[in-house]
Amino acid sequence: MIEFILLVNRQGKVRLTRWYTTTSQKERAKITRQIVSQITHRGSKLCNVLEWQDKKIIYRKYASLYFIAGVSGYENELSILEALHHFVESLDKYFGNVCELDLIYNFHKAYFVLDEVFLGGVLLETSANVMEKKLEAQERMMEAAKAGLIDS
Amino acid sequence: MGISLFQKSLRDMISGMRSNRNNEEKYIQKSMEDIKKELKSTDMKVKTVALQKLTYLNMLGFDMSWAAFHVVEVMSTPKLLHKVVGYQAAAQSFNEGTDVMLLITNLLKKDLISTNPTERSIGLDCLSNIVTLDLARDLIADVYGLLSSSSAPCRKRSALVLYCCFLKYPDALRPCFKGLVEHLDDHEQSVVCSVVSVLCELVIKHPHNYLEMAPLFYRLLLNSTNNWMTMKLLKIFGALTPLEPRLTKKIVEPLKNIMSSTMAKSLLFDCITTVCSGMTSNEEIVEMALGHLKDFVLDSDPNLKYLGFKALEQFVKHIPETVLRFGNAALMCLSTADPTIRSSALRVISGLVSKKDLKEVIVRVLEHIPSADTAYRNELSEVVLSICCRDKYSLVSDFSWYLNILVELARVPGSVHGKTIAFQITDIACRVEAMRDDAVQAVRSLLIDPFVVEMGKSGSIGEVLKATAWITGEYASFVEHPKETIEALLQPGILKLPCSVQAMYIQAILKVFVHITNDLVCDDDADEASQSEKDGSTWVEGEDDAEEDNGDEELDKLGVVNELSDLILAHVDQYSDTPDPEVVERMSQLKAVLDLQKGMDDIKDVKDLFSKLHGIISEELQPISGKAQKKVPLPEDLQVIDPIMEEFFDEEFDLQQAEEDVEVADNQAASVTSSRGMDAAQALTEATEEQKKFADETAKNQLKQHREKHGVFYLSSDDKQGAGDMGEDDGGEVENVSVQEPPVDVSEDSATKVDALTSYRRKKKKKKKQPTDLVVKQDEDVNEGVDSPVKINKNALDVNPLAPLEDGEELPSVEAYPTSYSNEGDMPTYETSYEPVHSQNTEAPPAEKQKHKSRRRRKHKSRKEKEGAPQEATAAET
Repeated sequence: MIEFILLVNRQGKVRLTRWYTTTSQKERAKITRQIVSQITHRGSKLCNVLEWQDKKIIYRKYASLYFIAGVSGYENELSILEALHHFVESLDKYFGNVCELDLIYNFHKAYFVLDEVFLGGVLLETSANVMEKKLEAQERMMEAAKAGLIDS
Repeated sequence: MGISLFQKSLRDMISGMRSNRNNEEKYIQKSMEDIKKELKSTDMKVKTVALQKLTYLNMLGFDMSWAAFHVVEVMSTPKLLHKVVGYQAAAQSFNEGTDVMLLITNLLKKDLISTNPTERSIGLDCLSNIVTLDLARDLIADVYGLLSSSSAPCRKRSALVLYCCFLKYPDALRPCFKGLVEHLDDHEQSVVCSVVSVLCELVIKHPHNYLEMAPLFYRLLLNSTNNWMTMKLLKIFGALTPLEPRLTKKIVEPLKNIMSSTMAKSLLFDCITTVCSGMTSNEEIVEMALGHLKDFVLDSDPNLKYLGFKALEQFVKHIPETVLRFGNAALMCLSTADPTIRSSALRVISGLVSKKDLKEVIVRVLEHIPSADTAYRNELSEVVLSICCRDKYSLVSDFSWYLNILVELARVPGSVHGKTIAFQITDIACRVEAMRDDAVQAVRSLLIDPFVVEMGKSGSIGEVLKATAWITGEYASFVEHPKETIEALLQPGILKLPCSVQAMYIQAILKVFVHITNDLVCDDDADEASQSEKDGSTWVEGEDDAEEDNGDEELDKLGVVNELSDLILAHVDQYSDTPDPEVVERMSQLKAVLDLQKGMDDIKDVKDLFSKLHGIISEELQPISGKAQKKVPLPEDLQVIDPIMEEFFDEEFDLQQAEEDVEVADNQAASVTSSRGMDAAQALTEATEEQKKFADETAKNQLKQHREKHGVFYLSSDDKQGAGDMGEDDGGEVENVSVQEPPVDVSEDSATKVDALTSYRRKKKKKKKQPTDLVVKQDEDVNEGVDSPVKINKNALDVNPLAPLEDGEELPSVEAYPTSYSNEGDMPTYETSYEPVHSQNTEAPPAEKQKHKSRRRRKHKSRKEKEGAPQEATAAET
């Protein structure tokens, strides 16, 4: 299963994190620091997998952001890369041409998308179309709720 | 409202952080203070925004555990927009140690049974992230209930959340399993897919429990149109086929179809790994997989290349002979820039190398050392070392060559493998008698090279030098250039080496000197010819003339010896400043011997002295066969089974006794009061009693017990007991202690044994006592670390979920489930869930039938839920 998902930029600033296993805040910070320093120093032509302790770290760089997943040893690296790509596409659909700034200012929305794609460390929704519809509905509902909130 | 007007929104705060890049710390500090104030506000909107900001900061690594209660407050607001922020914060910041966790159980419960799909889904999401044992136990019934929801997304989510709950609360797996498996027939493909994902995780962890589900998986594999699901199914088969070889035949055809038709590399890769994990017996499919694997390995995409080697590693483990053709490709890859690929390729090479091509492969691996960076150099060295020493050097046929390789590796700058190299050189020299000459010659180059000595200052090469000195001294008879060697052993650079190495050097000087002198002066006429043949060409010039006149010869010899000892004496004082006592001691030893020799004018005395000294140092260190001990006859009077002292009885003996002595234990009081003259049997009796006592206590609170046992508290209480005995004990303190001590060890042992038996009972008790136990439990968590419950769970999931449910186990139903569960009390049904697979297998109904049955059950259950959950709850309570 996927043990954690991390989004960091080139400077190593965290943009999104989600941990699917029990880890303390301290440990999280430590792991993040170690992994990020390794990944940001890797050349662009190297493969997207790192063997790290008993896990595999699979990452891909999209524009200025690294999408990183830490997975258990038996996972298929390619399918994780595809899953990450699926997540990026979903973000792209949701925000419309997503960029790092979108994620910074709307991190809570990015979490929505993340929770729609992955749940408990497993890919939840694999169909891009279903995703799109779902996210649209979600957005509409939240807007409605917001409107209701402002009125009240 | 006052705060609200001036409150910074999330956007403001983030913008502020971005514009204050130089003093971000300060800005965040300021924001944190604002947030603290705002969180105390009564205006929900203000609170929510503050919490959202805090969540953002937490994501960057700032602590928010102090705000846990505020999170719960926001979570419990009725407005969805606020609520979502609260749930988000909880999902991110709560963990097992969060104390307000208890407050959200009902909140989540309400969400799970809500009619609003968004509430349900945020509830499930949140639960999946923060689930603990307590939450899982209290909410599993609700999550399970959602499996039969009419909304497909909800079913899909609840299946995955069920898995999260199983991880924390493994007891739920068996009751929920049937319901979960039914959804493999769900008309919604995505639900099937998520159930397969859950099963895949379960099967990979404990495949033996799921063998009988193979037909079901097979059917799914045939019908699957979704690549994601096919991949999961292939993983399942990858875990099952090693246990059930007959499955191989079954899935060969579908696998072939997939491999020949799919365009997706990830799916193809899963096919390959499935083939190599359990289908290696089928040549055809292996060939096909290897064909595809070749494309991976030769692909220019680094990811595919890496995966290719990853799969090759597996093949090498199982069927190395089929992948020999990839050896060259792996060797070619050593020059790639990608460390991950290189490591993998190295592992492949290491698995493929054979006796025949060892030399060639090693040379090709070593070729890369000069151009590599330090880490890679060390990796390469490590591979060479591990390949060659594998199975007691079984691959190496030419040790002379290998010794030179080892010396070459020792010269690798920045090497961290000095210790291994030193060990292997010494090992070979000791074990292989014929190699000693070569070993001495090989290490000579290290010994005389001042550059190597310089390197020895830092890093692990000092170890190699130590071994070098030892070999030179130990096998001094093979030293060809004694003067040069002694000079090398005396070079001033050695002072910079670690003290243990210096000591070894001095010892080597002594050995070499004694050996040479002995050879020179003690040669009888008979040996002389051979000796001069051996040493003649290389040894000091004077020897040629020496043969002319015996007296002259002897004088010459003495002269040579004197020359050498002068040389040593001139340099050996350099060690006198060393702080290490061993170095100083050996130095004075050496000096004493030399002084002794100096004082002797008569060659006979010298002869006498050195033949004796030579006798002392020339005894060789012999390798001993592992079976040697067996050849030594056992002395008749040797009793190894009887305890030397009463308190050191071994565990098995003790356990046996423990069982026999259950009744005797009742007399414990008597045996304690009359501890005078207590013999071994009585000591055992007491131990048994202690054991029993401890067994009970352990059942109550094992962890506490453990700490007390090792801590001061336990000892003092034990002492009290001891003091009581001592009052009547004439034997004195020592005896008393020796009698009192064993129970401690014994009980510890018994505690672990009893643990297995009573674990179920304890579990139950814990659950029952839950509210009162809370304080203690938290205390334990602090001491034992957050991880401990997870560790227990890993094995606990190893149950056969397909076996029929026991009396105590029921399908979870809303409300009633937790109560009825604890009501069954101390029934030890835990062991019985480990029933052998066959007992149910023999007539295990085919999937269809099973499905049918359980579906009926589920219908029945869900109706119950709808109709009378509350009544049922009360019924269960009464």
